[in-house]
Amino acid sequence: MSTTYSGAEPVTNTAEQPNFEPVNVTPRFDNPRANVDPDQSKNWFMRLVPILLVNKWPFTIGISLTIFTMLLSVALPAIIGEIINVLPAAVTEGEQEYFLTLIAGLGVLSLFRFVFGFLSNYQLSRVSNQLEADLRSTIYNHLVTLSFSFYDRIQTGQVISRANSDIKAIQMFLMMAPMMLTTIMSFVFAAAYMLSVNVTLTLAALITTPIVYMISIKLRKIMFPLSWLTQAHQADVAVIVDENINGQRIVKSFAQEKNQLNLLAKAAKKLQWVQVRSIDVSSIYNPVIENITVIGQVLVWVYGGWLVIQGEVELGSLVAFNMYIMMIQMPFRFLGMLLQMEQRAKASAGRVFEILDEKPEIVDRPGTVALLHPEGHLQFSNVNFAYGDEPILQDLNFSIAAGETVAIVGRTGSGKSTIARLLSRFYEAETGTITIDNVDIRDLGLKNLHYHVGQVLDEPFLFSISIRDNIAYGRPEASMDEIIAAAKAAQAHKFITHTAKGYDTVVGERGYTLSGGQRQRLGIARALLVNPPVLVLDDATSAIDVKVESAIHDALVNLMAHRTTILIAHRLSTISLAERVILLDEGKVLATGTHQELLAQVPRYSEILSQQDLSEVEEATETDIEDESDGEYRGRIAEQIRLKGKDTTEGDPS
Amino acid sequence: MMGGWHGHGGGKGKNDGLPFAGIPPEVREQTNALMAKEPDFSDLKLTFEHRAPDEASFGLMNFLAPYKYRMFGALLLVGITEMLLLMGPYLVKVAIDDAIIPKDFTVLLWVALIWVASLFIAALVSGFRQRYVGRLGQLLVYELRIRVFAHFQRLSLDFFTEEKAGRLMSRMTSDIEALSNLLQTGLVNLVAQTLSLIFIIGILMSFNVDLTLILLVISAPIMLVMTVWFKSVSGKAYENVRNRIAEVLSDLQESLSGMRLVISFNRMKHNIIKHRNTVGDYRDANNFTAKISSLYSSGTMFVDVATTIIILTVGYFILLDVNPTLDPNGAFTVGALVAFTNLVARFFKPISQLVNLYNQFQSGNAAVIKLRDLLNTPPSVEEKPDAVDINDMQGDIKLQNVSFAYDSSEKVLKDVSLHIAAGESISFVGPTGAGKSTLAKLIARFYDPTSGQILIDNIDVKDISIESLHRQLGVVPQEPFLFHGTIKENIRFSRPEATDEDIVAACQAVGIIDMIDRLPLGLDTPCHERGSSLSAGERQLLALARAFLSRPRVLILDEATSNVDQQSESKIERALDTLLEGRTAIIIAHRLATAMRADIIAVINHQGIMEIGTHEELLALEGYYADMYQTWMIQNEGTVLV
Repeated sequence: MSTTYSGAEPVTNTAEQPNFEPVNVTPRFDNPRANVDPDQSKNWFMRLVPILLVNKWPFTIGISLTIFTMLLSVALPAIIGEIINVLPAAVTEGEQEYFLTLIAGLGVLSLFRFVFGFLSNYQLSRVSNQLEADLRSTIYNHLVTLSFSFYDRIQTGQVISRANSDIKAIQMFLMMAPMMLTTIMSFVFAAAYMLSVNVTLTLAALITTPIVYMISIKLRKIMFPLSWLTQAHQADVAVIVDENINGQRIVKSFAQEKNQLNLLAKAAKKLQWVQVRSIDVSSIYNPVIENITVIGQVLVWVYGGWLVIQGEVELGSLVAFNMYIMMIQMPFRFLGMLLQMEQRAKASAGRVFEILDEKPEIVDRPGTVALLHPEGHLQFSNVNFAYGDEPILQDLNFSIAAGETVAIVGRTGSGKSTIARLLSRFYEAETGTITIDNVDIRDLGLKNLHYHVGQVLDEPFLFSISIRDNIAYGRPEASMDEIIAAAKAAQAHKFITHTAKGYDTVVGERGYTLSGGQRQRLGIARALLVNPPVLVLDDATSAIDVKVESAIHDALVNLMAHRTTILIAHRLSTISLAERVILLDEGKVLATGTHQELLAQVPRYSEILSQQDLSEVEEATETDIEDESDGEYRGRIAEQIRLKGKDTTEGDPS
Repeated sequence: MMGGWHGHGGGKGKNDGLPFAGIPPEVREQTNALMAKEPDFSDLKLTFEHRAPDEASFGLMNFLAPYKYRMFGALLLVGITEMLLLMGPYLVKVAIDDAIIPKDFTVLLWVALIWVASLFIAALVSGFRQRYVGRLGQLLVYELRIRVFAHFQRLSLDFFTEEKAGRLMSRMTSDIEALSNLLQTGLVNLVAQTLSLIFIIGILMSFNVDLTLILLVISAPIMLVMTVWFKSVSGKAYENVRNRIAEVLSDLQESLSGMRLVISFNRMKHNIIKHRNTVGDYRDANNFTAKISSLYSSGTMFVDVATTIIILTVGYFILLDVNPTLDPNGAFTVGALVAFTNLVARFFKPISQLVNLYNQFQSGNAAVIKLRDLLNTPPSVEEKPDAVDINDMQGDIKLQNVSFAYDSSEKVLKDVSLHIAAGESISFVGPTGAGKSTLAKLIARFYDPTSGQILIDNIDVKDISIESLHRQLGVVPQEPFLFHGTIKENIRFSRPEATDEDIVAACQAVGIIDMIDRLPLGLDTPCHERGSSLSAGERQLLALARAFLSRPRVLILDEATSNVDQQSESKIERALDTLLEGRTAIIIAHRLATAMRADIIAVINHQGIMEIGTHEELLALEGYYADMYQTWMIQNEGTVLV
């Protein structure tokens, strides 16, 4: 599939090719063997066909077994009926042989039903579980190919719900559909048996079925708003509790305990109100539905009993009839469920495909080259870039010599961070060229480029893995000594050794157990470990203590000697590390020179340095769970409540 | 192409005033109608006391005690329903033996009439019972929610720092739900199923003793063992599935949040393999549950049919033995045999139900224990019964020989004495872990000192009612906590009765009004909406506005500027000038620029207060502070910060 990440890369220089893509984990499962059909004009089911086709044999076996099991299930009541029919004769006239044969037959049949019932169920579940796993892997494989601009646009919660509940909906449909279809088929067989015994009795037996069906549909219509509102209010209660636990200090600080209690009481009262309403509705409908089915049995016994008295029907057939009545209720209920599930799966598939149809915006050109040991000479020529309609960089020109340390200074919004992002090709310059060692970065493989250009952002994202794994993120195979050396250079070693488990301490959820400065130090260590020839520090020491910052600077000075370094900074102490300053204003280079030169010659420079009231906020660079909207937050909590409910019933097959 | 991104399931909640998305369009009208009917409960006013009411220790029995007659009534109704429901199979026997075989249609009609009547009564009784028990259960759950939540509010801060938030959350959600399930369905079902089992065995015995014994000795134990096996294995298996999917989702979540790093560190291949491994483990866990549940569901059906086979065979031989002429009035009849086979399925139902109930009972019981432990936890900061309100706090703070240790570990503060005059501001500087924050928390009475005394306006804080103390105190912590709601709601939090003008004034005071005005929704901007997402500095300014609005007499800033960028910091510093005016303030800061704003600076280290005095006095002292200042000056040489 063209959209799937293949892992293979074109290489022009095969000699001593370094491993640009570090892997330090052993695959234990196969990659999905097929992708969804990329043709967007096809309907949702047809687009899933390639995935179904690679599983066609397991699927066919599962369906065949299910049909066979269904046939066995339908046969059982008929045989039991026949046994009861021949029982009187067997007792009074001693015709044991036929009776016992039937008993033995029933035994064999039920044994078969047991084995095939187990196999069919298991087989279909396995196939659908495999499909689910394949879909999950396919989406993930696709997600890592997408560009920064995609992640700027989307909300994490949205993607997760697509990759989770939507896939689950598809899986449920693919598993349940064959099972339900065969159950519905069983209706045909059961009805055929019943009709063969007596037509009017069949009609009498079936008369309650549509009534039950209609009542169920009506009930569902009434219940849906109630259960939806119940979930909404459950989520409201959970939100209040969650905030009062996490924000308890604020609640106490402002003596708001009573108000919060009343807030909760109101939410809990609303929840109680809607739940009482649900109870009122179900206490009317449930007994009706349960007992109407039994009315069908009463009808069969009265009318059937009369037929037996008339000699038209045998007693055993009556017993079988009653068993079929129970069996027939199921297909009727399933029919509605199946349609509903199909609707859900269709909508879900649409949302999943929306992700899979997303094309990566920045891809390798055909015939890329690989730089093995770049010197780090950078050149921006006539570079233009805009976010949407807002021009950021206009005809930007500058060059940085290999091994040089340059600070880029400018007000917020002047395009400093954009330069860093264009350099790594996280975004594509609209016009103009950027070169490393005189090679256009668009001619380099993306992985090759990322391997050589290291970036440290001001708010470094840490993963909830150990500190050691966080530092080794770019080089998972690094040795412990290398990791410690990087941590020492970033002045992180000391505080790491003071944490509970040292380098094995798992960074708390989203890194918040560490202070901002500590996180920045880990971010620096992470980049230093990779040791790239070009390093960009984007305001990377902004939250670090003055004393510690100067120690890091000492370490950086040593390290910078061997590489090209771009510093994006507000602090003078950071700027003073650079050999040269590039002053950026409104997307253009205003001046370049040493700090002293610019201070003396360019009045705008000191103006910008003293510019404290920077009104524009830098756009967020991390996708943050804090960013989810109220609606999403409530939705997530409601989803949790829903899932919890589902899990407890899943364990209960009865 | 991305137009559909936000249209999740038809209509995003905020567009039609609903709290979250997911309503299919065809039922939206009904949902809105229902919401229109919902009462507002705005006149609901609960009181809150910092002292826990003198209640007996929480337990199932004393929780239910006030409702014992209602519970008893419910159980009576259950007994009646179960008896009525068993009329059916008995009537089948009567129909076969007394009507069909003797060919008497009148009896058949009577049987039908009685059957229908019994169904009708059963439906009425069971409907009434469901309503009765359900409403009672909801009332109990509501009361329990209030009780637990009120206790949360009473508990001290140390409780919240020691317990994981998720654990506390589950007290209010899943534990109360487990208990509510036990109350509403568990106890009733326990009685219902037990009665039903007894009735069924009674009826079967009346048909034939030997056949009943066979059922009890052979089939029942097999079913019981199978169900118990399945419950224990599947419990673990589903737990495993839940853990596995949690891993898959957290891996996905982290990958998405950190995707920019994944791309820039070329981790795609590594992460793909890692994700595939977690997905594969999840699949295997799913396959295992599929295996055992397929085995169980097929197995129960098999036991059902096999039991029918045994009954038919043995029943046949019994008939041969005791009633070879098939006399409908004989000791064992065809009707009884048919009724017997009919009752087999009904006989197994209570068995598996009772096993389920055992699990439900266990989790309900565990919930009771957890809730009891919670409700029995006393707040470590307790209000004295005769605590006084101080309504006009001046803000004169005295610490006399205060020592403090978390738990019984090493003392964080040793013998600290300090006087902060009313209206004076003081900043605490010094190395991390020296107890600066602890000192502030003691003054706010989030903790009580291990020894020594803290006096505000010459009254021991322990003698002041917590409500009046906190009302006149404003705290701004390091991580500004914003509630889900609009900017306005978040600021108003500290003083719910504040007018919109008050809020605008507070925003002006901290200098954030310009930023808010630029937002499309202004003060009504949701704090957590993406796109309008606030920077750390802006969030901190909101927290300052919130503190300002409450007009505190004593203001405590606990590292309020340490996590913000330099631009926001200078904004905050300017806001501080307004905030500090005319009130006692305690500022904890590791940035000197912030610390220097206070009238007095205290250097605190592990020994206690090392240096104290004005900025100039401390510089003259040439000690720790002077040294810090020196480093900082060198770093910031030439900047225009000061």
